[in-house]
Amino acid sequence: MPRIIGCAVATPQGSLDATIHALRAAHGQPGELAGELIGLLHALSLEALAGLRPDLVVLATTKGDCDRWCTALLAEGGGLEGGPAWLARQLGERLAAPAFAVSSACASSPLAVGVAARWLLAGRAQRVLVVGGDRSGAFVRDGFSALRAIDPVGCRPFDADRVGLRLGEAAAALLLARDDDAGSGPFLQGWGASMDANHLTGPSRDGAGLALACTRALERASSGPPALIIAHGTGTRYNDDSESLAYARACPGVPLTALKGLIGHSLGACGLVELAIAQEFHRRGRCAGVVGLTRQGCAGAVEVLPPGSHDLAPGAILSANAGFGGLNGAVVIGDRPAPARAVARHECTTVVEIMPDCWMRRRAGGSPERTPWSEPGDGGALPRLGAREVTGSADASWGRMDLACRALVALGHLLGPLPRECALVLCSESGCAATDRLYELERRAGHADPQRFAYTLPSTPIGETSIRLKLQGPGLVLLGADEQQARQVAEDLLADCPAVVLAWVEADRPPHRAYAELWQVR
Amino acid sequence: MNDSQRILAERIIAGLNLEDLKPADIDPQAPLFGEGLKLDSIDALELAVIVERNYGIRIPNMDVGKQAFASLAALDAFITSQPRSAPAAPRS
Repeated sequence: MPRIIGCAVATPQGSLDATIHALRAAHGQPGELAGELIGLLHALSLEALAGLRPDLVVLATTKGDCDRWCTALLAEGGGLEGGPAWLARQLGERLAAPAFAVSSACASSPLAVGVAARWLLAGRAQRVLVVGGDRSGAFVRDGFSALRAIDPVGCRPFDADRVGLRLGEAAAALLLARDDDAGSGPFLQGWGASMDANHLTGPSRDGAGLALACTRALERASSGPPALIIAHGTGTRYNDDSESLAYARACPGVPLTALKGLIGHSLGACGLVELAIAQEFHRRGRCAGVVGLTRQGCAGAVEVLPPGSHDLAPGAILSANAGFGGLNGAVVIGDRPAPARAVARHECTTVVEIMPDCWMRRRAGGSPERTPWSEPGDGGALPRLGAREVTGSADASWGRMDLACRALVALGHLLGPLPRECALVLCSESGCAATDRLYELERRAGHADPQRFAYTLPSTPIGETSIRLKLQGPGLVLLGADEQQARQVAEDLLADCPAVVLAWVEADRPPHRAYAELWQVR
Repeated sequence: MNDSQRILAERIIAGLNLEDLKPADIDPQAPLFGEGLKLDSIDALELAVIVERNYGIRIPNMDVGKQAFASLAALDAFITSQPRSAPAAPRS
């Protein structure tokens, strides 16, 4: 256990199959499309999900329904409709199950799958539905254009002439069951995640962070090297170089494919779409090569499968994704159930809280110490949390951070020394609403700002904190989770890492507070 | 530091939100990236936006950017050497 017992993919064109045909018509790569892939996508249908009764719904998304979110943010009163928390609640109501969102930029899907897998192993549910979805409207398109990351020709993963990504849009769903005998689908054998602790939008040059996530997933699966890697493969120069180095390091000699040349980049949903396809590859024993590849050219020594249909050796499939903030996640599916792993004895060792007028720290067994800010925040808002006051030294990139980023970085600093393998779990309702609003106002005035765009992800505070505190455990944001759900997600993580920072930040809206607990294995 | 370098420094500090920094703190000859000011690639894209909006000069790609952004003095010289169109409207 756990086992994949159903999956589905939908796109604006209807099915993924229709999307592929539409993309082919629009971008034209005749003769390059993998017949194998087109055929197998007929098998995936939303009807498979009709009548489900999941015990929990986990939504994997970067920003949810971004267009609706921006309209709500700019309206009088500034609501949060369309955002990840709101979208998760809508899903929960329709499927009559508790629901929350997991947001880790473009690695949201593998992180959400990890949360679901641990939830099942903890015995809290028999069936968990993981749903992935992101709108990629003008907000996202203009942002990636400002970052100069779009390839006008189309995405060409691992190709020597690649220059960027192609946006796609999709929603996908994966139903996971606790029982080994709940169906004939492949097992979810392993999951792993990491933070690069390197750069906010650029992948690490050596791929070490992603390699760490892959190694953790493969260790969790304990089934040896996989038969195939489904790479993130965005088609940007840096991503594919970094990824190829990661796979050369974590699983040398394993052939790899990538799917975004065919279906585009569906942001937070992409990992779930790729897992749905992975389980079909596994079932059929065949896989598709990289559509868009003409001449391989990437930094790492990897075997990239050319376009067309390929036989798949017996064994597991590793699917990996990497996102802004240096957040990485990997999932292994195959024939063998994941070994059980118990959560070790653990305790909350330190608590910190940031309030408008002071910050407080309490260590286990001690009484709270309070330190006033030099200049308290106005009218109940948090103060500006300057670099010198929080860290004691200057910081060149501190000024561009929004208040939510500063608050989480400050919480991390105030908690004291954290182990390198520490996980970061950030809980929020509004995410980065204040920055989204500013970015959207500028964008509508014709100036999509590349620097601001990097901060329009709920998970950016995680990235900033991991970079500054050099943390390389899993990193994720929970949106719309209640306190009990958040604690369970954090507690489950202690099966896989020695410490977890569990933080709540609402920096821009009431209650204007930031609070964090450090949980450590004894 | 001459006048045009100082004005450019003010625009960079404001545009990149370099808190705790004044124009006089920037050594015109010191590297802007890596060592020196310790800017990174997100700042580089933002710097391209600052140059375009304030001086009407488009940086076509980051290979050109790399040379132009070597230091404050280098960027000032690059701007002076370029033919200009009208600056884009300031950020609202």
